[in-house]
Amino acid sequence: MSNVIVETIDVTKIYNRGKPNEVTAVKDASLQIDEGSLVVLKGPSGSGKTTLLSMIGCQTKPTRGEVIILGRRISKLPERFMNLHKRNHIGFIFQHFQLIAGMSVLDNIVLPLIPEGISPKERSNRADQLLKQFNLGHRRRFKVSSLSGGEQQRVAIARALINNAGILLADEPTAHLDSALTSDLLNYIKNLKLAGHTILITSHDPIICQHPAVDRVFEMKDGRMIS
Amino acid sequence: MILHPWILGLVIGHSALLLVFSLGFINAWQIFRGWDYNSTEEKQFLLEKKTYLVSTVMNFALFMQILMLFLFEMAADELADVLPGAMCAVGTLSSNRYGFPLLDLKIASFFVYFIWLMFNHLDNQIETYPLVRRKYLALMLMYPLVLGETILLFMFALNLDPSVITSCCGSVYNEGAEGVGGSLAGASATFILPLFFSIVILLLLNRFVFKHWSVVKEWFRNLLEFPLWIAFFISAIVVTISFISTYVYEMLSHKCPFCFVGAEYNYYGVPLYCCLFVATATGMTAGLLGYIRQPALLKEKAGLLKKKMDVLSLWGMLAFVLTGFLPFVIYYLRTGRLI
Repeated sequence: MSNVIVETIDVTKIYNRGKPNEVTAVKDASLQIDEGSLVVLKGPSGSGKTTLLSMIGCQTKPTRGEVIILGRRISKLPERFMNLHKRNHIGFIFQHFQLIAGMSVLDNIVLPLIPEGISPKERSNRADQLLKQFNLGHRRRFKVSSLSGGEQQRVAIARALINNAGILLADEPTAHLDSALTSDLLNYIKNLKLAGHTILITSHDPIICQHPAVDRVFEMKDGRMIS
Repeated sequence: MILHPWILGLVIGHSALLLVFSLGFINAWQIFRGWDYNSTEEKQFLLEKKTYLVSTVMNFALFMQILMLFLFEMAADELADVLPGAMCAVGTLSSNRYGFPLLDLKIASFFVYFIWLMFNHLDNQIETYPLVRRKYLALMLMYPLVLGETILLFMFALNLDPSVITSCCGSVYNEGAEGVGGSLAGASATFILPLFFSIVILLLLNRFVFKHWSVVKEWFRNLLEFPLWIAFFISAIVVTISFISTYVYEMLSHKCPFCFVGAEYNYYGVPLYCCLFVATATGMTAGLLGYIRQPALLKEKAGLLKKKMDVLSLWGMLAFVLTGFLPFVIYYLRTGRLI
């Protein structure tokens, strides 16, 4: 029997509440994601995918409704506890990678471990394993600004995995990649799924939506879940 | 009114804090009335956001309010220079009828604010806000204390008159004087010392011995703790004035509880009062924390906080006793006489 690991119940997010520029980004969205599955959230630009992903990723709270991750009602948690939950269970791959250009590959990867109080030696050990896994060992001390797009992408994935997160969220990860890099990324994601990670990707790229490793596709339009 | 920098500072500070508290009161009422943790509606999410902000602001405001007690004492000491007849803070406080009531209210409020801060700290450690309604109800009930302090401070400041000759500490804390000061100074050592040490022993028994006696139930020990610490504080103040001060000043007629706070007596009163206030505040908090039964996580966190409070209160009490009776021991060793 499958185990639901991520659930949203009638989640609504309204920005600029009560102001002339009020926007309902997500309206009454409900979904369930099973443990170890690869799920895609698709929809046109402005459909509310990233907002829903941010709420699942503990980056913003819903205006109403409920987000439950690993059985915890995270939408009810005070910010401090929500951040702890995020740090311990969720890895995020951003659209533009959001790496710190002036820092080395190693320093970028270990960044999420610093607030955890993990020792520099342990941080370095964990990072080395990931650098090896993603063929980045030779770039350990390079500044990320000197890396190619594909290498930066792998650094971003390694950073998302450094805290041993069971859940990976990726926001339009192929938006700025050519077809070869998109294919590489999908291979990495497929391997992560096989390793037991639960993965949620927002995308309107048909290559991702139609990939055989994808278990389920949710579709959004104008803030609502339509399928 | 004297336009002295200390007075202006206190008046402005208290007015600002009253304003913050008034806003806190309104928000506390909204949270208290509308709180429903299980709701996933927008209103509840807004209240959850609000409670974090309000409790953070109130933390700061109450910390400042606690600080105001010490600033007020320092101000009273400084103002003695401009009031004829005043030798120390006592002269300033007795220069009109609002001084001592204000000090008494500030001392009582100190403990109430400290306890609220500790319970707020406890509540913030648990993700389900288990104390939120009780915490804000308590905050609303504390509002009259803040309002009272501000009103009394205004009355005190407005009635400070440099043309009126005030009393010095020697005449207020004198065995022959009328009023509370005279009664405190005249308290017999043969009565107050046994009483003080009985309370200390009772507190120690309650902490270390009674828990092993099945006949003394836990609820009874908790019930005993809070009033015992109040009794400890009051008796310690009386002991300080009637007994300890004699050996600090080495004068039978000088029993001022303020003079020894200053530089002339090497700030002897600072550690003495710090130990007393810390011991009492943490001891009272420990007593109240013992009442928490559920939910289980709250009880667990309360237990951890209680342990810290227990340790602080016992060390504070011990430090107070050692600091307080040190002048007596030194005097005895030096002269071989008790008095």
